[in-house]
Amino acid sequence: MLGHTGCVNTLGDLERSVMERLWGAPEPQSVREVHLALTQDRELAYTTVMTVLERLAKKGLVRREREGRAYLYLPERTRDELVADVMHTALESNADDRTAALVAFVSRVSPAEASAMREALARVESRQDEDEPR
Amino acid sequence: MAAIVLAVLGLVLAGPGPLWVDRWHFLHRVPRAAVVLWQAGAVAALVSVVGAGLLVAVPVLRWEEMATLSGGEVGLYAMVLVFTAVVVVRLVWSLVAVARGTGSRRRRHRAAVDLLARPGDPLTPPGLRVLAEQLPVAYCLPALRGSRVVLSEGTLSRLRPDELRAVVEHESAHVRARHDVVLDTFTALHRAFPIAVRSELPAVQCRLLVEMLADDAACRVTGPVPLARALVSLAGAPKPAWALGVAGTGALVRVARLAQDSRPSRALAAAVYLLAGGLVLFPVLVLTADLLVP
Repeated sequence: MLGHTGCVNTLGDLERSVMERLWGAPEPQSVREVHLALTQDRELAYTTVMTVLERLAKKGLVRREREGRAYLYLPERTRDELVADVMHTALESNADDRTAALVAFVSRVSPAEASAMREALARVESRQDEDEPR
Repeated sequence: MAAIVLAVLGLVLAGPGPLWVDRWHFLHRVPRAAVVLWQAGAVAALVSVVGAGLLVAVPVLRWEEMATLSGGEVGLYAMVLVFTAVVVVRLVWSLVAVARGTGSRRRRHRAAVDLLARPGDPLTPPGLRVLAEQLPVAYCLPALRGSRVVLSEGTLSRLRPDELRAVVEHESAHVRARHDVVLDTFTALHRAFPIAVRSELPAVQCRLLVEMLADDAACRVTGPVPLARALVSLAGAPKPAWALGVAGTGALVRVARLAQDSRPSRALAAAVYLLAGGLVLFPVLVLTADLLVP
């Protein structure tokens, strides 16, 4: 229905696995620890994991802390916080005084307006029936 | 004289003008032309204000004339000149600030969505992301590269396939036509004007008009009924307690519009384009005529 794409977004998948690992870990993880966890079910270069962690840090999704000679990585926010963030933005996007980051399909309406909308919908449907008699 | 004409025009375009045009509901029949009209109004207002300021301040810019002026006059003209410069600088600054602010918020949001979206199955198109949430949401994150259309599980379960198709077509139209740029420009314009004279009507109307443009694009693919059903279904979806009570006034207007004759009126569109052209041309002509004819 929506068209095809053959390619799987592998980088996205990798970022997701790394984040899942960081979210699941009780404490900040070194690149080695993340690498070890991810290579249990697949082949993955150490440098790849390092690159992915750096990308995530650049996007502001993970934080890097120095521990002795190594860097430790931890998620900037928990998964739930991130979800709450996204949903807040999604449902409050039409608030006027801040620039909307996104363009919503339609915003939520009051019950009164919802019933007015259903009446209007009935008119749309009846017009369609006139146009295409069965 | 020309300075007065331009100043009055600028004030009319900033104040009562949008109030009149706001009542022209026939503009909803030609949303594209209507957006152009609002843009033309904004440009004309800007040209008028800046033009008036420059004309008044011209004596200060000519040394030989300045010698004949009193100190008070020089001060007054200089103030007008400074005011004009402030308007321009504020506008440019506002445009840059809005573009950067929106851009960075959008990038952060996109990164989060990409991470949280359920792993893409090969059937979904590249820019579509589905969040594993029961609250129905549908929106797009337009960008030069890497635009996203975001839905949630709640949306998928609430809508029938043809309604879903209408939603995706609607959002894709926003992304294709970069409607966000139109909206960002009006937001920036709105912010750049002093609170006393600025009107939020152009920004509000244009937000509604680009929704209508996207609705028309969806209608061309699915017809009006699935789109209207999707609008009713999602606008009436439960709202979480923390979501602000933002009035979605556009929703009803959009569904009502789908019930009307949707055949585009070429004559009406042409008339609106003509008005838009005249609106921009008039202050430009007044300004050049005054500068060329001493």
